[in-house]
Amino acid sequence: MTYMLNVNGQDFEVEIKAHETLADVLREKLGLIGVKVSCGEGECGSCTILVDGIPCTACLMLGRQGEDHELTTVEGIGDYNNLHPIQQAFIDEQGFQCGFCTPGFIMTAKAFLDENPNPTEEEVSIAMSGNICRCGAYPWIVKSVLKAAEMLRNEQR
Amino acid sequence: MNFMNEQQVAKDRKVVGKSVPVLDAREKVTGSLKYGVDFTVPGVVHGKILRSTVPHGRVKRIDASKAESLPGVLGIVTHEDAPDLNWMGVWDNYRGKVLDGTARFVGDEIAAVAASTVEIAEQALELIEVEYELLPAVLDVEKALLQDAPQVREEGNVRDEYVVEWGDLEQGTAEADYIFDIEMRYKSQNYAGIGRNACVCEWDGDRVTMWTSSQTPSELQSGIHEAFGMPMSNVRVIALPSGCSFGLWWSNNFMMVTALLAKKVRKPVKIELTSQECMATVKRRHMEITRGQMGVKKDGTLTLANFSHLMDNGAYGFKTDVYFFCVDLWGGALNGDYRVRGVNTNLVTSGCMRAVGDITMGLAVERLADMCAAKVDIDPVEFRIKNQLKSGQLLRMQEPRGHMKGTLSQYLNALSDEQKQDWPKMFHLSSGSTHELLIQGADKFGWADRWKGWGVPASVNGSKYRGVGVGTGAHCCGVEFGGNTSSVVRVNLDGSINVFSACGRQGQGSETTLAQVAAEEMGVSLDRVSIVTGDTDSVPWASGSSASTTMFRTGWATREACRDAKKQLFRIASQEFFNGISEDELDIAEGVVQVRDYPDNHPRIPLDEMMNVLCSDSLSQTSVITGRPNSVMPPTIAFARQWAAQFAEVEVDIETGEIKITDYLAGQDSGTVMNPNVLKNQVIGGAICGAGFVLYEGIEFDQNDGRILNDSLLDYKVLRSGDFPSDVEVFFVESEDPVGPFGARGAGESPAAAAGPAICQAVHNAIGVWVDVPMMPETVLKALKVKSE
Amino acid sequence: MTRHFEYLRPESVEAAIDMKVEHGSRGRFWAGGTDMMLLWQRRAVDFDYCIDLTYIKALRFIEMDSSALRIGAMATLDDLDLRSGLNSALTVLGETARLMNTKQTRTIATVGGNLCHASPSADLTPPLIAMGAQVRLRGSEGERVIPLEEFHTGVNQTVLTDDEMVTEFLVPHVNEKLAASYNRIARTVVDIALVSSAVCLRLDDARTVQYAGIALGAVGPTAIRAIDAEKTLTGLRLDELANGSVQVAGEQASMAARAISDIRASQEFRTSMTSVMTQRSIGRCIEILENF
Repeated sequence: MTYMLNVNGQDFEVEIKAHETLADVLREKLGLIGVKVSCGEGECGSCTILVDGIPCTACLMLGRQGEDHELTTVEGIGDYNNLHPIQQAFIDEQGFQCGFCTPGFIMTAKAFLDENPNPTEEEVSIAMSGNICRCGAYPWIVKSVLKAAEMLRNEQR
Repeated sequence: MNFMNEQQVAKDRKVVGKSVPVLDAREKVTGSLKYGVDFTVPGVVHGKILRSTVPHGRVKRIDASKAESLPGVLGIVTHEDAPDLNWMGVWDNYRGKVLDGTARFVGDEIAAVAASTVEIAEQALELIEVEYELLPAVLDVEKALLQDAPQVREEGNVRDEYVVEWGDLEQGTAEADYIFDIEMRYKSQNYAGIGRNACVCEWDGDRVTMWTSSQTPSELQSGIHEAFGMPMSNVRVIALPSGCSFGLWWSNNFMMVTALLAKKVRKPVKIELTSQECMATVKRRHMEITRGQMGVKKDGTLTLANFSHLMDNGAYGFKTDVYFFCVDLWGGALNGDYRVRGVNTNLVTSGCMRAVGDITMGLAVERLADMCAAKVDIDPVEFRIKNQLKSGQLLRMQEPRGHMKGTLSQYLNALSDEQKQDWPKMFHLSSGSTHELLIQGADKFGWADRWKGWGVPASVNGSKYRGVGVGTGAHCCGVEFGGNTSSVVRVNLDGSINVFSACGRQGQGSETTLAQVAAEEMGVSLDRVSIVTGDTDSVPWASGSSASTTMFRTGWATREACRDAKKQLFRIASQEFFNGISEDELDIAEGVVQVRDYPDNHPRIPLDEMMNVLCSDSLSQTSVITGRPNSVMPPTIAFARQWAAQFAEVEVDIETGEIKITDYLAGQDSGTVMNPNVLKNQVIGGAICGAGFVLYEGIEFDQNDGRILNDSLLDYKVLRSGDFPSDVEVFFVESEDPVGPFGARGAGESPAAAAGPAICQAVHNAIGVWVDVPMMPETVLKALKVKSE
Repeated sequence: MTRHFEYLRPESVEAAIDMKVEHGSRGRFWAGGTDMMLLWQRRAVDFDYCIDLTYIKALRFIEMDSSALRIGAMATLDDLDLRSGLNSALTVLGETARLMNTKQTRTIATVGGNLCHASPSADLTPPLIAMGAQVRLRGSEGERVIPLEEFHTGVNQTVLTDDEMVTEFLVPHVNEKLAASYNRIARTVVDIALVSSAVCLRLDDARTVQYAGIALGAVGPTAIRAIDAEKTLTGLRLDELANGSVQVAGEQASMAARAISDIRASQEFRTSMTSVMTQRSIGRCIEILENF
């Protein structure tokens, strides 16, 4: 059976089995491999997407629970030729090593900065604690988010 | 070839030393980089592995008929389908057959199913009936040492002991004013890598192609050749970038099972491991026990360092040693004896994890040294400066395990003088040490003001006690007796460069730093360099990204390949464009071939123009230039080490035992820094790995069957952003290496080894006791209780 | 059979209950999924009909009703965090919610789901019980309201009958001189509680402790009220509390704990830390009340 999902600003008719996770639906049915699944149990945050702008753990949501919401994945905030300032900031400060956790961090950061455009370093560190970077790039992830905040504030002017 | 003369002066460098963004940065931030789990091929079918529920047992009967008849199932493999051949994993991390009908740990691979969907494959697993003849299991490494212990494998449990010794232990004991003993037992650390893994494998006739996340493409190719008894020419591995690995994804048996299954069903098969499988059925750090003794004179001289170290190899690990460079770190000890032994147990396989040996035994050595320093009341920074190895001094760890050519000494003696000319002095530390790191680090950290004495807190605020500590760590920069490295460089018709260098892509930035080496040596801009790292059809065999090999050894090979390419270029250029100018006087800068000295007085030919000549030269047999190393890299184990010194401040709540890291400074001496942003990230990444090891991480095994109880991140606690200071400082002491590319050495592992000692010492200084690791709140309180009694 | 279930989406409580009655034990309520998804994947539960409660908009609220705070079962943990600061009850609940798992699971995890999962270490349980919270249940037979401390009967066990669901939680007296605090011991910054204690003190106009609620977490199959410790504090004036009664209450709380040893912590540690956590929670309450 197919259902309508609104993903990255577009409507898609997607085949969803009841027990499929939203993460798997986005990855496999829509090819959105930027939704990364690692722990599959809500600890690592790699699968973080935005649901109506709110960060949510896609590997714990049912595919059907994506209905009637605006879903955003990392593919929806920028692309290779047109990076979002947050993505550019992560490159400038090298807020990653292997990169597997990076899309999840970027989505968490996007939601955080939407609510907190002028955070302190401490606030950023706490806000980013819902995502795991096993490579240990945390100090540079924090720097990336602070840089992104600055870039976004400058954009506003 | 004179290594020393060819080192360019730092200020002339265009690409080396620059914090260029890593080449795959855009792919990473847009989520488009494909890792093993993201990879697929058309027509792929899905595999699932049937795993043992017993720690030790022989498969008496296996009936897969119900599973085979399930609609959607394409085929099943058991040990009856597997070749009767042992294959070796990298650094002896695995020795075994693909499937052999014996379960050696709970979770061991017994059979595998391929089906059209993952769900059908999972369902099919439930329909396979297995009957085991239970065998006695041994779960404890000390029990496994005993003569009458159940034998985990046909070669027996116990590997040969590995010994490093110098001086005279009796003399060392006699000369000591004080002697300290220690026994430290470490829990096994889990890689707990974010990213999981998958393997996709397809056979085409007798040729097999495998795609998987791996740090070691060449060794994986060799492993498949061994496991299936097939020529390497028929094996193609395409190693994909991996998530955080720390040594997990090298050559793993589940990859061989994938190949076996694909061979049977004659369709491409993908086996994707779940998070639980990654954490409980592949590999882990060895569980280790260090017993040691150190003797010290009143003036702080270490007279004696005597350590015995036991590590469990788990079921399929086959290591004889851990390569513990803390021996060299504390090489100032006058008399020493370090011995290591590996023993098998019926627990999941263990193998090398970041800073193998140095994070474990190194911690015991640092702690015992600290006890000595405390006894003679010498500041820990000073004590390290006094007793740690300095550049030019004799290395203690001289002979790695033998290889085909015998010992290292035998190998060196067999080489001609010409082959060895210009090599650094063998068996002596060629460059770098902790000396400057400690001096500069202490200064930057404000050590003199913050350190109040052994076991004296820096500050007290209610129940919160703060203390500072320093720790040091060392590691090798690759060891050639695991295999050599090579590199190939191709100059294209337009003067752009392709580099083919086998290495891993697990976040350490090698695909970028190797390209930086090539760009600098070839005299072109970085955007004119494209690198292939994981495809064994293109990259020459090279020891992969393990043992901190890549920057130093594969980097060296890459630079040599560039030099060879330039030689060929200059030979043609000299003839075609530079009448009378010899090849040796030519150079490339900014993509232009010119005369090195006084370039303005001579022609300057852009590289693409030069390359076009080749195309139209009827005497030339090729239209491109291909360069590869044609000199020998000196055996790096005989002279090169990497060094780390780290300073930590912690706050301990003495009512609850909770520890918080409140300040951190990391110093690193890995020679020339190829890419500062990349290396800073590596250093702190290593520190966080080491911090986890001493604070929260540790595998819990079931007492009865050895099953891993905390196989999920809920109860295997890894550090998060809020657990480590954000405003860390990293500084470098760039002791240029005489051999490494542009003076660079390896760096991935010593930072992980230095963190634990720094944090443990800081805790000791805060609360006046040494705490067992991992230093969970409860363990801290236990130590405090013992102290008060 | 490949494991699968059918998905049902009621948009009212009545519809949800009807579905549960229809499918009996082969139907399961499913809220945010942060517990259910894992139970399903690990084969710890088996059912044919998933009744998704998250589209019942009427259950997602946090509001005041005279002096009682009402939290709808489908309010998320993040909702609690965002409403923190409105009053002391919401402050402690918001602070507690922020300790739970991660931001991106809090946005989908519901208060109802969390309390129905009935984990012995669930962070919300102790502060709610300490504040004297009640829970409203509705089923095919009608509605009932019971004290939250009677809701959990064991590890992952509640009094819910086959077709009952939780509709809301009520916290009384929140507009009075009330202070509450929750303290716990954990390992990394994201963790479950190894041991915890929540304290709620309510003063009368004479600044005497009219009500003391002390609820211990992760030291028994369900949260435990430390009755003796509560009695020690009740009736004392705020300024009298510092005279040793805090320590006594702490020790009494430890005596009430029925901790076990597991891979996370030992019984001894949990028991002795109960006292420390209780004293810290009492201390924080005193601080808050001194500023009233």
